[in-house]
Formats: sequence, C-alpha cells, structure tokens
Amino acid sequence: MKKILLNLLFIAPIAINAQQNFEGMVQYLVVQNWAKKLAAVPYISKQQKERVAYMWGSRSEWKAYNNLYFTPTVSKYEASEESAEPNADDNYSWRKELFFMKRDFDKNTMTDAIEHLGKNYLIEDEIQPIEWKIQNDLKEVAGHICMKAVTEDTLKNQKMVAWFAQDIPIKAGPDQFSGLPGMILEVDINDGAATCSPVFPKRRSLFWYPAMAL
Amino acid sequence: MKKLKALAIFLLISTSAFAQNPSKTTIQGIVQDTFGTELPFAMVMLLNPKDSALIQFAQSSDKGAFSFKNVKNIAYLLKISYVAYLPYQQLLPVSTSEIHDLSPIKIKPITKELLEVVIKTAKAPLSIRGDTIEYNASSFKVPPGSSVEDLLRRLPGIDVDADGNIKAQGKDVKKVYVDGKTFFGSDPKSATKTLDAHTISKVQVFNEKSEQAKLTGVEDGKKEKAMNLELKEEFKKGSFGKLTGAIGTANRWAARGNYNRFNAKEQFSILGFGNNINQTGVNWEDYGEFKGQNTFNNEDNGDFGFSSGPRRFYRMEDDIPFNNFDGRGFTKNGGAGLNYNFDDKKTKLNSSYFFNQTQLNLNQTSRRQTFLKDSSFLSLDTLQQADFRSNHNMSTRFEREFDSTNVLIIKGNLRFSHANSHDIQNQLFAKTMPTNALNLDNQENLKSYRLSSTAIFRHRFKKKGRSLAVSGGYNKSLSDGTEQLFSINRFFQATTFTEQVRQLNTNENTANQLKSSVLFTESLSKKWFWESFYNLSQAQNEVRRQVKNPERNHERIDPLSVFYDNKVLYNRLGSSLRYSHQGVNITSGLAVQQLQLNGSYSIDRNLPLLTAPIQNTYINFSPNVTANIELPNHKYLGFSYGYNVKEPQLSDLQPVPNVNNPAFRAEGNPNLQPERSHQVNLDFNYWNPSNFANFNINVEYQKLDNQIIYAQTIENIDKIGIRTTTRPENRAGGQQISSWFWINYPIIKTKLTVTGNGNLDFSNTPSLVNRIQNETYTNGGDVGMSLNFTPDSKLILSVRGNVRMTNIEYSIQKEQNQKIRNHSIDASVKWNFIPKMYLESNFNYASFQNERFGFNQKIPIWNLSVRRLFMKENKIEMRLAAFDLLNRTLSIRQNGTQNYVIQTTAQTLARYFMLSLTYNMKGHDDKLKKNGMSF
Repeated sequence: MKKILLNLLFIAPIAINAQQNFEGMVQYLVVQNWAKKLAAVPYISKQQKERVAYMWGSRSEWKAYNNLYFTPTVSKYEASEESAEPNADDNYSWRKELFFMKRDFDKNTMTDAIEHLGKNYLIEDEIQPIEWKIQNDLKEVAGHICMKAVTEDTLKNQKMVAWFAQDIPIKAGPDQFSGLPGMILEVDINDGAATCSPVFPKRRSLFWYPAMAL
Repeated sequence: MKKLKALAIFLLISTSAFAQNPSKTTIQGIVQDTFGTELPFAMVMLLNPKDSALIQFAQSSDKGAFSFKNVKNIAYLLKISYVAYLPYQQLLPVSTSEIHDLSPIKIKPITKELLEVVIKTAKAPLSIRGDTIEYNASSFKVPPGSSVEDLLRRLPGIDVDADGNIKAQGKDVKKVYVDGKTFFGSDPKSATKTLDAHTISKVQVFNEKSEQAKLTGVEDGKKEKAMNLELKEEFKKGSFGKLTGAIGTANRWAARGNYNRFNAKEQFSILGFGNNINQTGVNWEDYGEFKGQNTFNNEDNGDFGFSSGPRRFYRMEDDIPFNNFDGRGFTKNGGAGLNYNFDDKKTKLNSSYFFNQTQLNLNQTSRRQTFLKDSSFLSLDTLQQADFRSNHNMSTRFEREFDSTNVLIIKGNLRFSHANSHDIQNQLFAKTMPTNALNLDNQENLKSYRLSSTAIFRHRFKKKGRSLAVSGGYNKSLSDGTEQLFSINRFFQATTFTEQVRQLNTNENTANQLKSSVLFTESLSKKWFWESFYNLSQAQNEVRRQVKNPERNHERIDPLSVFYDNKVLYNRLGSSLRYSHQGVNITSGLAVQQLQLNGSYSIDRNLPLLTAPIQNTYINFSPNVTANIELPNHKYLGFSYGYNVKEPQLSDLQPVPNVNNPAFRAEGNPNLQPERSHQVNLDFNYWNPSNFANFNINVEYQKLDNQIIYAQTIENIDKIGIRTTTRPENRAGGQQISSWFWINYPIIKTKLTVTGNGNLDFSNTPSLVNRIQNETYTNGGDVGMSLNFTPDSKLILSVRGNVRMTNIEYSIQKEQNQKIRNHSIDASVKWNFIPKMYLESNFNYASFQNERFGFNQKIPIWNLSVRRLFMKENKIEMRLAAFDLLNRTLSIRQNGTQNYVIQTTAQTLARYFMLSLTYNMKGHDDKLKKNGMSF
C-alpha cells in the first residue's frame, strides 16, 4: 500500500483518485508540552515561566497515541489502547478518561464525549466551522505532500497550524480540527505546546487497518 | 505584490460601482498542466483575498473541470493545489456576468529537483512566499565540521563555484544575512565560509531591492538575489544571573550570586554564597536554577523491589546543601559550585561540583529529668560548641537511550568531608541534692571520603510488557578521626574530691559494598503482570578505634580499644503478581531474604580475637501488598502493607563500650537480632479542578515485632557519679499510629482560601531502665488553620494558627506524666503599596508550656521589610529589612521520650537590620508571590 501510494504520488498522480472511497485509520502521536502551555498563562510571572522551562526541559513533554478512523463522510477520533511512553510507568495503568469525537460531514453533525473538570459531557451539535487561512507552504508528511493552513482561537488565545494532504480528499482531522479540502495529517498548537503527527513510517502504511471502529 | 492586490481590489470596487453586477455567480474553469493536459481531481479553493481565509472548496472532475455554483459575487483569491505542482493563485474580481468562466488554468510543475530532493528525500518543508523559496537546511545531511558552503552545494537550485561565489536559480547572490542581520560586512562569502553547517536550521532565498532602491526609497526595478541563514534554536544562546550584596547592623552580612548560560541542549551554571545570618545553604529556587534540567529525575536507585506505584520524579541526591539551619546558635556559611547539563533527548549528561562550609557557635542550656523506679534525677547542662564542617561534592549522571527498547543510566558521587568540633560542657547532676558536676572539654577532628556509583540497564523485549532491568553498584567510604577528651568530675559529698580523665581516641573506618540487582517483568495478559527480582550485596566494614592515655605515655587503654572486621552478605529473592487496568493497580508478592553477618573483634589489628568470631544468619520472609486505585472525579486511594526487616547497626554489635563522657557509656550487643516490623499505610486524596479544593488524608500503623531498644542502667558509681549505660536489646516492641490530613478550600474563588491541617499520633514504646520495663505512651495532636486573602494582585494577607499538644504517660512513676503545649499564631502581609514598592511583614507569636514544671515561655517575633525595584525591566532591587524587631529570638525545644523529659534553650541570631542590593540580569518579578516570604 505504501509503495502504491508513493508511486501514485510521484509517477501517476492521476491514478490516485480512482480510489475515491478512502477509508481507514490514522494513528497520531499527540505530544503536549506543559512548560510551553504554561507560557501562555497570563497570571504567572515571566520569571516563573522561564524557571519552569529551564528546570523541566525535555521532561515537560507528555505523549499519547490517538486513533482517527474515517470514511469519506464520517470520522471518529479516540484514544488508542497503546501507550506512547513505554518507558515511563512500567505497565502502570492510569484511568482512561471518557473521550471520543465523532463527525458526520454529510449531515454536518458532531458528537463529542469528553471528561472535563471531573464531569462527563456529551456534546451534540452542528460541526463548528473553523476559519482556515490557506498558506503557500508545502511539506511532506508521512509520504503525502501537505499544504499549510492556519487559524486562531481568540478565546483560548491559541494559534494553530494544520498541514493537510493534497491527495486525500477527506474533510477529517485529529481532535476538533476538520473542514479542509484534504485530510489533516499534522497539527501544531501555539508553537509546540501541543502537536499531532501521524505515526509513520513505523506502520506499513498510513491507513494501516480498516475503519472497523466506526 | 501587495500593491498589485490593492490596485486590483480598487479596480474591482470602482468597476462594480458603475456596472450592475449580479448578486450570485458561478465560477468555473479547467485545470491543465503547461502542456495543456487536463489535471483531474485537483483541489480548487476560493479564498478571501484579504487574509486567505478559506471560503469554499471543490475538486476538479476527471476532465479537470471545476465549478462553484451560485456563490456570492465578491472578489476571491482562487487557489489550486495539486500534487507535484506549484500552488497556483489567481485573483478573481467581482464577476460582471452570472457565469464567470475562466480560461484554462495552466499550473506549473515543481522542478523535479525541489520535489524529489527537498520534499521527498530531505523531508524539508518548502515555503513559497511570493518570490521567496525557503527550505529546511537541517534535513540535508553534511558531515560534522562542514561549513555552510558545503551545505549550500547540496541544496538543489544553488550553485557554489570554486571561489565560494553563490548562485541561486542562476543568479548571483549578492547578500547573505544571518537571522535577518548582516553578517560581518557585505561579502556574502564571509558567513558561508566561517559558519558551521550544523548551526543552521533554514536557508531562505529571495529577491531584494537593490541597495540604491533601499536608500532612496525609489523602486528602480532592479532586484538582487539574497539569502538568509536562520540559526538553529540551540545556537541561540541565553543567559541569566543575579548578584546580591547585603550589609546589616551587628556585623551582619550576606552575599550571593549565580550566573547561567544555556542553549537548547546545554546548560551551564555557577552559584556562590556567603553569610553570617544562618543561611547554611541554598533555597529551592536557587537549587532549581543551579541544577536546571537535572533538578528532577526518575527514581533510579538500582535496588529493585516490589513495585509501589506510578513512577514519579525525584530530586537528585543531596549533593548541594539546602538551607537546613535548625534554629540554634550562630553560623558563618560559605559555598560555591558549578553545574553542567547536556540533553539531546537521547543522551542526558549532568555533572556538578559543590563546595560548602559552615562554622557554628552554639551556647545551649538544657534541663533533663530522668525517672527511675522510685526516684528521679536531674541534670543541668550548659554546652559551648564550636563546630566547623566542610564538604567537596562531585556528582555525575549519564543516561543514554539507545533506542526505544534499551536505556543505560550511570551515576556516581564522590564526597570529601572535613569536620572539626570543640565542645565545652558543664553538667550538674542532682537527686534531691546536687551530687556531682562534670566538666567536659572534647575536641574532635574527622576527615572522610565517600564514593558511590550505580549503573542500571533496562531492556524492553518485543513482546509487550516483558522487560528486564539489571543494575550494579559499588560504594566505598573511608574515615579517619581523632578525639581528645578531657573531663573533670567534682563530687559534693562529705569530702569533696575531684576526678580527672584524659583520653586520646583515634578512629579509622572503612566500608566497601558491591551490589547487583535484577528485575524481570512478564505480562501474563493485558491486565496481569508477573514481576520477579533478585538483590545481592556484599559489604565489608572495618572499624579501628584506639583509645590512649596521654598522661601515661599514650599507652593504649585496652578495655576501650577495639578493632573489628565485619562482612555482611545479603540475598533477597522476591516475586509478585500485579493487576493493572484502567487506573486499578494491585500488587501482591512475597520475598525471602537471607542476611549473613560475620564479625571478628580484637583490641587492634593482628591481635588475638576478644571473642569467638560472630556468625549470624538471619532468614526472613516478607510479604507485600500494594494497591493504588484511581477513582473518577480526581479521587485516589492507596493502600500498602509491608513486612520490613532492619538489620542491626554494626556499632550496636560491638562488644567493647564507647565512652566519650564518663557519665555516659554505650555498650554493644553481639547477639542482637534484626528488627522486624509490620507496616500498613492508607491514603486518600481528592481534588476538584474547578475550584481547586483539595483534601488529603494519610494513616499509618506500625507494629514492631522484635524492636531494638536501648536498655539503660543508671547507677551511682564511685568517682563517676550518676552514670548511664545503654545497651541495645530486642524486645517484643511497641506500636504506633500516625495520621495527618490537609484540606484546602476556596471560600471565594481565587480570593479567599482556608487551609486546615493536622496530625494525630499515638505510640507506645517499651524501655528498660535498670532492668525494669517501662511503657511510654505518647499521644499528640497538632491542628492548624490558615486563611489566605488576596483581594487583588497587589495585596496578600494571611493568618495562621497552630496548636500542638503532647501527652506523655509512663507505666512506672505515673506522677511524672507530662502535658506539653506549644501554640503559635502567625500573621503576614505582602503589599505592593505603590508601583515598584513592596512591604512585607510577618509576625509570629509562639508559646511553650509545660504545667508540671511551671514552664511557660512566650516569644513574639516580628520581621519587616520594604523593597523597591529600579531601572527598566526592574533589574535592581533594594531592600531594607528588620529581623526580629522586638529582639526576642530564642530557640526552645521540649521533648519527652522513654524515661526522661528534656527542655533545651539556645541562643540564636536576634534583632538586626539589613540593607541589600540585588542585580538581576533578567529583571525582578514584579508580582507578589503567594508562597514564602522573601526575607
């Protein structure tokens, strides 16, 4: 599959869209850096933020795998069973919080289940449109040439960068991100405070098993 | 480009003003390549021309055709994205007709070089910004030590000739910038020839206006190729530092400074301090800035055992002195050190060196009442102590992650210490009448060094959950000391007489330990794990104590001299089963341990043994249960049960008494058995993330099976007076319950918080006095409450009250039962009363009571300081502080255990005023800190 995709990419880009029914799963590595997150908090002084960043360094990162299952019309994003930090806790198991995000792009509906401040919430709504600004940057992510799009959340004071694949005409993406002409393969929030990137080329292909979980 | 856009928009608006344009339109077209071949399934986007916001998108058909039906008739930026082609952009004006048909749109392929080399091979993002093409240079591999020139030779589209002249897309590059700034003059070669390729993260090539156009501001149409080299984050250096000098009344002074340099991979710091205001070491903030990324580490001591819970971060060994002044006496302190850290995520290296010294002068009086079966005696003690200690400490830690399955950690610590003390002590003993007065003049000099090292290797097998860890360690310590003891004992009996003793002791101790541990984990299923460990350690200790009489030609005093050689072999094998799933982690296991002690005792090396060699083997089974349960809503429950075995200390096994004070004699007991204890711990903790309410409770119960207690024999001996002899013995043992709680609740969110804490302890301890067993029951409690009020960011008020009660009951001599009460109340204010000016005040009122002795001391302490920040960025801080304004400082302790009660009073630093000046390179914090006072 990977070979086919790469061939499609560089030799016969025309053939790729013969497979109009894309479906599968992408596993994302989600990295959260709380020293960088803290840097955006207004009530902590500059000196304290600098001290935290200096003392914690690379230890301030927290990693997890999340899976995105998709078809051209629906997607589901949820936590993976696999641990992304095999060396951290020697099989110690933490409680999993309730978490999934479902999108139906045909009906324009979303269903999110999240645990927030100790309470469980089920959010059913229309998909909230994101005002994406398309940039002229290209980059390869997991064998796909991606274009850059940016957006800003003024409420949370976040700047987000997404890289979407030119050759996967799927509106889905990780977390609450969607609505671009191609599938979102990489996300960066506030310059590394949180990042999402596909686990590749560890897997045989980006879509490494069918979308059974949908 | 911008101007062009503006012009176009202006034209659109002006044309629309004259013509009647339809409100809706359909935009359609065909996407082709430069040869006119239709491109199917291209991404076509309509963007807002002002900010490139995405409005709508479509895909071209298999014939390359696309259309946006009935869209609002406004200006758009049409963008087409297609694999292996350059992004295409076209500004679409407001349409004059209902169908806006675009002629075939031809899009250009990305040059094969750029696509295959830059994007595909080097995985470098390619940015097309107007006429700038930028790519990530760090993706192009060049050998270490290469210059930027070598790097540029590898970049597609760039040519470097033999002289170093650069061409980009066939045109000469006239200018090279580094991080957007001109690099040493205008010769572009100076930067590319001198800079190391590994310092560069990005190379950007763009067209620049000519120098002429920049100067005059008049566009001359000439454009030059320019290049910008962006430096990697880690080569962007940072530094910070602070320097403080303070001078006060009563000859008080303090100085402190630190300086740090760092980049993304390395941290280097130096720190120094000196003072005579009882700050014996650094505080938490200094420590963190000094150790940087090495402040916290995973717990990795290499002695594997039962797993106890999630792995947490731990502070490294106490290689740097913390401020641990215990409140008694006057100290002069100094220290300095340096630290280096390296971290590239795969390799971590930390090393530090620190020197510190403390000179303590102590004047202390204590009153100790000791109870016997039907009597009691009193000793009044005044102590004058001059004590000097210094340490050199070197430590290093190396961690290498070879890949995700193999990790190696190596740690080492080396410490040289020197201690020197001189005690002058006067003790007065009395029953109903004074019996004797003992004057001691002891001097001690001790030099020692200690080396400890550990290596740990962890391997993770392909099978999920299976892992192996192996560790090895070597520790060595050596100490060499001399003691000069002198005592005069005067007796107040029918005929007063005096007894003098002089002694010169030399002590030489060496200890070697070699150890190794293995831990193997196997997963039985997704939720069940099996863990096994094995510990082996071999220790050898040698103690040589030679006691001589300086008045008799330094003749050895045989009954007090000893040489002993001990070997301890320790083996432990354990296994446990663990269930881990969804926040429930329960482990249960059993270990068996064998301890072999072999000791031989003689008066000195190579002299006949005093007793037959001691050979003791102890075998024990110890079960262990641990449960950690994470409940929903941020509640955690923990339980543990352990059976612990503690081997006797070597000094407790020696057959020769230790006499440094004629009134106190410590004997050993070669038949001592290890102390065994059952320990149960229960803890619960809850926090509410929405209002930050927090609740913690912990209860611990311990029952000792075979407690080692120090039996006392108190006798009135001719020419010595009241003498206490202690000897360690095993007894059925006592038990204790200790518990504490901590609660934090916001009454008004972020403004008013109440905190309560307390602990409650019950214990009974057996003691043997003159062969009569006594049980001491101690029950004590401590309750504290504080209120924190922060009406706004400029004012913090807090009040704290604390009550401590201890009741001590004895099974013999019940009339000696004690009730000790210590109360304190504390109020503090932090106030930013005018910009850059801060007032801090702290008032503490403490009372110490013991009804039985009519003891009642009340001590009010008031500290006050005013500080002001100067210069922009607040780089300078000036502070005037008054410590103990009421001049009442005194250190008081009350304690009661076993068969005695002791009250100690010591002089310490009282009222002084201090003026200090601090320069902070990064500027001082201008926000009030909620925790801690900054006196």
